[in-house]
Amino acid sequence: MENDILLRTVVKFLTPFIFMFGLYVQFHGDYSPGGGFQAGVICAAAFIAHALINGLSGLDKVVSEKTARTIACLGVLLYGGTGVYAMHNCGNFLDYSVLTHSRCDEVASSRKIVTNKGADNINKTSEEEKKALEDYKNKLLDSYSANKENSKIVEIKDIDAVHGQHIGILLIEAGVGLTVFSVMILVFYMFANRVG
Amino acid sequence: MIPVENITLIMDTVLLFLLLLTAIAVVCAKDLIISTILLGIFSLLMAALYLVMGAADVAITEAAVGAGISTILVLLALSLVGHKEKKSKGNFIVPTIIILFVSIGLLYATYDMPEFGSRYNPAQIHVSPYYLENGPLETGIPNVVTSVLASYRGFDTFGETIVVFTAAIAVILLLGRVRKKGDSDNGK
Repeated sequence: MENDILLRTVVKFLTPFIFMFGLYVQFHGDYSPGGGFQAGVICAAAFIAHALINGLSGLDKVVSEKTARTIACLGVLLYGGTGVYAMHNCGNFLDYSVLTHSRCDEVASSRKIVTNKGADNINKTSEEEKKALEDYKNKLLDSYSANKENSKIVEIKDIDAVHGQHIGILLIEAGVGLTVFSVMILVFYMFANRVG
Repeated sequence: MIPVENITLIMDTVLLFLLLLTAIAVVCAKDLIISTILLGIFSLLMAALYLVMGAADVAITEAAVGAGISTILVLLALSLVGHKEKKSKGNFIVPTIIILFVSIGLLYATYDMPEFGSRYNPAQIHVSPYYLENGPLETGIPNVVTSVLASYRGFDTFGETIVVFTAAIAVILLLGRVRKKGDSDNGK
């Protein structure tokens, strides 16, 4: 296969496009079909096509076996780490709502007798912040205005939670993508090493 | 002008018919390489069928994993073990009877299934309405599938990722042994 000029040319031409499509599926998974798992497989397919043409040594130059192992572990760590960070912010494991805005103050104040000072702190938001939140809320609502008419609830109650959810889902999808990508590469490596 | 419902029906029929043909061809093919390629086609047809039924996320997965990666991996495995099917000896009566009974049982079971696509199915009246209504508002993500997978069912997806990771470790342990010269029982 390595000497077939047609295959070489076509694969060389297609590989970057497959990889780009994989990244698109990864980062656009919030709005269109796709997500980490599919993206990881598609990206891995690009690299495996590269390996089929340039041999294992060609793949080794891009992603070595050791790199793939490291990435696989990092992906799972990123996923688990997101969950643990949520716990650090006084949420449950993998509760993304608290990722950007810690709930610890709330939890602490609900435990104590709420003094006037504490209550003030919770409700203290400057005008600018309020305006920025309002803008963000409107933007979100516009982005799924199609659903707006059908849905009975149009009010986003907790804008902080939605922000955290956004970040959390991005992070864990990245974790899934990295793991699946490197696992596919690793499995390919194992088989191809055997074939020789 | 053909009504839309009829177009869907025609597409379903054609795809299912092609699926049946491919499945029979997979069984009949003597060369395992041909079987593998046919299985890739089978997966692609399944992906198209999922797309027609509106499950775009599943379709992408099926196309990428079923038709793409697994075909390559099976082909690699075939280059290790050879691609000629062994002639099987013995009688086919007992297996045929078992297959017949299982098929009849499965066909009978389909009569007990809820009506296809009905909104009153058990699957549609439990938590799905909540996800569909509140998913975009609570997670800020228009694609409900992603919001369910990543957020509401984040723990399951975590487990799934770990399963994939564990599979890689198992494959490394089984196949990743470094071959040394003079190592006589390296399985070749």
